[in-house]
Amino acid sequence: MNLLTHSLTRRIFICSATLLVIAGCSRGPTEKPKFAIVISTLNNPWFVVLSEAALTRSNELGYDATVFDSQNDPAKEALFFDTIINGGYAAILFNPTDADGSVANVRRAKEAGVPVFCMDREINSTEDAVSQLVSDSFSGCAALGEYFIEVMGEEGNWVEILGQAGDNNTWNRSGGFHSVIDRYPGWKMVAQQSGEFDTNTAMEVMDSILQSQPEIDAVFCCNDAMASGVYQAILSSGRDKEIKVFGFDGAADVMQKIGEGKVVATVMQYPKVMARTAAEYADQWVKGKRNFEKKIPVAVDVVKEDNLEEFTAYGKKE
Amino acid sequence: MGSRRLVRWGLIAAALAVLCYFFPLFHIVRVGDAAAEKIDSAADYLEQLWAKDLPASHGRAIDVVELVTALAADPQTATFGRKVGLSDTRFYFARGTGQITELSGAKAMLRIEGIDASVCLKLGILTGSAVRDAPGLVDVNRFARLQDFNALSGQLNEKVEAEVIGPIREQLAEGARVAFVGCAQVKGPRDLSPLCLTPVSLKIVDEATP
Repeated sequence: MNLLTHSLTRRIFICSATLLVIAGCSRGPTEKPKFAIVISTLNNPWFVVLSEAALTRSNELGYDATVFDSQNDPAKEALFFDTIINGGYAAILFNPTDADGSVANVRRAKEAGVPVFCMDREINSTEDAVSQLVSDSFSGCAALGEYFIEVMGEEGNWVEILGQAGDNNTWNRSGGFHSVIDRYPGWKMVAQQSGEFDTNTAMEVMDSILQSQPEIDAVFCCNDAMASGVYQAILSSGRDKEIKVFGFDGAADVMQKIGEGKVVATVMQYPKVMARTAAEYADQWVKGKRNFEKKIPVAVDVVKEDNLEEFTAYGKKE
Repeated sequence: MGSRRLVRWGLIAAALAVLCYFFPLFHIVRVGDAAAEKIDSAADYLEQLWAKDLPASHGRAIDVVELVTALAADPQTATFGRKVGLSDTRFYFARGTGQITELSGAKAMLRIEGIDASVCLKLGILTGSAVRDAPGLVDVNRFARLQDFNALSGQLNEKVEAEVIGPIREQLAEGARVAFVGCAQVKGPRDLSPLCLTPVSLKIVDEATP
């Protein structure tokens, strides 16, 4: 019996030791796990803030992180995902270029065992990304719409400058604003065009609209980059006293213009909240958590002259 | 000799257990969380929600006396309220009776029975997502696109205007007693002065005495 026990225990010990060595060896040299941060474009300061917040929080949590700039190009984004999936990244913090087009990239990552956490922009899926943190743009623009009616009254001519068609944020923001203004038949939308979320494009579009529309009372822009371009176009036309501008984002220059009475209001998003939370969720995933809310709306706030002092660019004053 | 061996193997086993904790040989992964059932038809979903789920939930609405009392004690109270996503906005689902003290196209002020407090019922153009979010019936995780989730807000508001407020509007008068079930959206202290609810059920209990 002693001989049998001795032999058995020795075999167990050898097997365990072998397995342990294999496990240790397969882990490779001790290295920091790393996150990939994929951003739609770093050409917009708002996304630079998103990216930097994700990077900082990832580092604070003990991860190396690499930022990839898709430059608004879905093909580039797909190539980045190839690199990331083969590059040993523990998680992806993702700001998609296209709500439909980016689904395939997220799915590939999921199938490769790399979790994806979306920031600011969603993909049209509840099954592929682990979690998606998206500003509650609809509610924010509905609140902006209510303030618009309060300030502008119940009738007039207005213009809408939309964002990129492939970004659901365009339709969430437009939908929220329309959910209020369309209830007032006195308000007539005289023009609606995309400024592609870009300052220069929006300025050109507004130039053109100003030439064809002699009576405009207000412009709603789906982001502040466009609001800046639109304001510039209006100023150049000499009609800045008659046309009021409303934006979305909480960008530094528009906040300043609100203080100067040049822009009426914007809606503050919180890129740092979304980025930090995405990094924290990725960290929780690495540590074993698996149940996350799939879609998480993140509250936003209307910023106007009388509450401007509560805010700073891209966030609230602490 | 036997006990020494036992101790030695016990220590080795303990060491192995610790090492396996830090270098797991395998992970247990749940085979996909039960994915929330997707919504195939937005129109069918709206009808089911409006015609069946929402009326069936009226009994779960908190007594407005309890709610107003709790909010008076602590305006930040989490009791009875719910949130959606990362937000400080709270939604409340409440029922009660009250007498109309002021009436306009936009709202009716009610003196609540059982407490020295007033609430208002919204009767004008409805905006916001109180009806969608206060009862706790709509799960944002079921929507592949937030646009569809958002569209529900406006659709439900239009239902309330057409089917709850519209049929009864002409009969409302100052002095009338009404029973209601309503939804409130509270972003901050201003929304508590007074608490305003969007009615999803509104009945006249006693008409105003001429």
